[in-house]
Amino acid sequence: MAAMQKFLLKISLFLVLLFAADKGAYFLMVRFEDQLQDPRLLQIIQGEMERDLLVFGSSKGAKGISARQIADSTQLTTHNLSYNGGDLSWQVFLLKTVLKFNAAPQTILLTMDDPIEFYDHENYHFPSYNLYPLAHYNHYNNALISIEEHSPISRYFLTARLKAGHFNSELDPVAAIDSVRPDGSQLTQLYSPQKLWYGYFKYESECDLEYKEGLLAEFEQICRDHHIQLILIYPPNFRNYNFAFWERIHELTGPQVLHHHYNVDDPKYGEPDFYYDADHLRRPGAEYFTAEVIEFLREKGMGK
Amino acid sequence: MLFTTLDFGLFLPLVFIVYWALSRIDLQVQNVLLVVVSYVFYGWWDWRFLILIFLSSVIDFAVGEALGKSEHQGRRKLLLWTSLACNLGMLGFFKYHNFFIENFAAAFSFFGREIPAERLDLILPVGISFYTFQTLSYTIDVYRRKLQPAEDPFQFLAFVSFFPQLVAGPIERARDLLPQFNRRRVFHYDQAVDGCRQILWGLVKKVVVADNCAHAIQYMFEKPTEVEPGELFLGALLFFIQVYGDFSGYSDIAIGLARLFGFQLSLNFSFPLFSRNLVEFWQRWHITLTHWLRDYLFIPMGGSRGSTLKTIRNVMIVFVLSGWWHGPDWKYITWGGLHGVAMIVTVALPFRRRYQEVVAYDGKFPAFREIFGILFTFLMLSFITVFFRSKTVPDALAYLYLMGSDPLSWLSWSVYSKYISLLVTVGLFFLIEWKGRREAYGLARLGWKWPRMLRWALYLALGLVVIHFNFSRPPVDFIYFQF
Repeated sequence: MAAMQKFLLKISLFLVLLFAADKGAYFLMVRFEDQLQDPRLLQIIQGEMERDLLVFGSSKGAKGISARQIADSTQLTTHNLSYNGGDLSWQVFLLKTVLKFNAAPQTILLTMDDPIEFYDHENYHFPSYNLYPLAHYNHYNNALISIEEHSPISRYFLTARLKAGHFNSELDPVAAIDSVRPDGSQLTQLYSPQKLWYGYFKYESECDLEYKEGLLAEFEQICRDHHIQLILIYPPNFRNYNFAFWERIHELTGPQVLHHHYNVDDPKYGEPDFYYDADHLRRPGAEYFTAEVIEFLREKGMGK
Repeated sequence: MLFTTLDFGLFLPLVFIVYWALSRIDLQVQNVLLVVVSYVFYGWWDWRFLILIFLSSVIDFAVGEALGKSEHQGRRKLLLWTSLACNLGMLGFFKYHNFFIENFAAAFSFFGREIPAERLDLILPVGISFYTFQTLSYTIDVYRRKLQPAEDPFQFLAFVSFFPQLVAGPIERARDLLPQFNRRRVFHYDQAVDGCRQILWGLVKKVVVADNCAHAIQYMFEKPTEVEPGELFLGALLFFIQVYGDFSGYSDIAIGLARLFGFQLSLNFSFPLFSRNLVEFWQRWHITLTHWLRDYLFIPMGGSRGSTLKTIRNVMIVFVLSGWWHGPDWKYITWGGLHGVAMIVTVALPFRRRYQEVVAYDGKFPAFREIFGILFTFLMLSFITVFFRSKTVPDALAYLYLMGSDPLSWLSWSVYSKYISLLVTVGLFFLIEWKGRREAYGLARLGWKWPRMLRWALYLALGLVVIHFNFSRPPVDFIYFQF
């Protein structure tokens, strides 16, 4: 009996010490915060993302819309929260996070990816790697647990939240093409190393995933609950658009949602110089398209 | 239930406390508890597996009982064959059915006649090869009158399903493990602490060494044509280390867990990576399987008592079957066959030495000849183990061909610099293993002369490293679970 008591005491002491020592990882993770090349998620969780207008979307939104240009032209404080590869599950998570830690914006622009918005696509998902450097925040860690990238034990043990990048600088590699500007946009002057390829990608509604359509409805509902004007934006692809896709989104959304499609009759959008690749604009194209969005906002009585 | 999961982390302390609380009441109740928790542990994968293990246990218990009562040789033989047929039948059906069907169809199509290979969509019960061999050892030993048949069905059920070693060994002999269920277990502080230390070391081997190697080599084995020959060479070495870390790590955890419950399991690995030749390697690698095959296959076939040709035949049969035991695939058979050929060549070498003790047992450093032997054995086994990891035999051959296309690149620093943190980890692991090579496991006495604080700091550091690597990424299954 005495032997068992001694054993239980020792093993408990070991576990308590292990738990305490584990907390040392916090200092390592906090130190890493200073090295972040994309501070947006940190700004969100620290309540520094209170803006009149926020842009959500994937790389199309990141490269295709200049938040600074909108802010300068409309006098609406604006930030771009578009993330490369982020699908609707990511947008919903991001919107909930923004609203949890910040006051709601007046307007949200959500860019639509024609035609893959509701598809199961390898480059279009929940880009969880963006959360790794900030996993010491419970909110972000819980998101990683919910998608089973972190174990539930990481709620209690910080070492279970560490990634290789905390020990070196591999975690947050931002290529020149993806460098984030202070307004959150990722406009680029570069051209894709691959030749600008033109191919018609037909939208097929039967490829749509029902849960992704549900996520759009959820996004819309959250906006409605917080009295946010949701505007869906359809940026250009190089010489390719799907009217059926636009129609489908109109069908799925309520009447209070506004839609802005790029002007398909404008020959400027046919210029190769406007594009980084077939799906993404270069800076000249992005500024041209943003000007069109600004005009739309003015028409709807937003900003100056 | 995997040893490295949170489920098991909750399961173990609960079972431990209830188990020792029952020790004052009755041995029988404690055994019943072991059966119940072992079945919960095993059924966690798929409750349907329980039917098989229960059936296997019931058949062997009944056969054992009947063997104990029967003196008639013909009837005894019939009983033994019944047990063999049932156990090997279940193993054959679930594990080898599709292999036979596919190869049967392929053989006929070779002769110009197409036969459709109708595979059955079977799930392979985890650890079936391990517990089948364990129960077979019982009936064979009872048949040979080396063991008294079990009288208590719960003791027997507990022996077959004892959760620490159920799914990946060590493959215990009934004569070693079964009597332990018939003895009152007493809690020993030192034994329990040593068990915890062995569990910790097993986890380090699995989670830190094996899983990191697994992540590093994945791409090399999936796309060998896109990787430099030097990297493929490193991949072969790392995979061999992965298998060792994974499997011996499991054995360490199993042995450590058993010690927590007052049981003593057999040694399964004894620093095989420091073996100086292949004979020594097989004395130190998966010892319980090697001994099983020796006692129940090699020796009954005549062992090395007959002519040279007969001995060669016996060695080849044992190694090919050992390879086949791992899985229903030609790559495992090839792996076993290559081991057999290498073993025959090694035994035939006129200058081969017989080693009993681990290398440099009485000293700090090995002799030059021993260093050469260790390196040669390690390299040879790493190359053979490529068959184990590759999807098919042609894939393995292609890997080895690509790897061998530029042997000079094996020495290129640029290859190793890409994996520097992993190599440092593996280097530290080897260092600890080397320091502890005279003990039962690497960490056993490391730091015993240090101040207690420092030793605890080492255990805490290892614990944190295990938590980090185990829980910050998706878990990697134990390799031997698939067998």
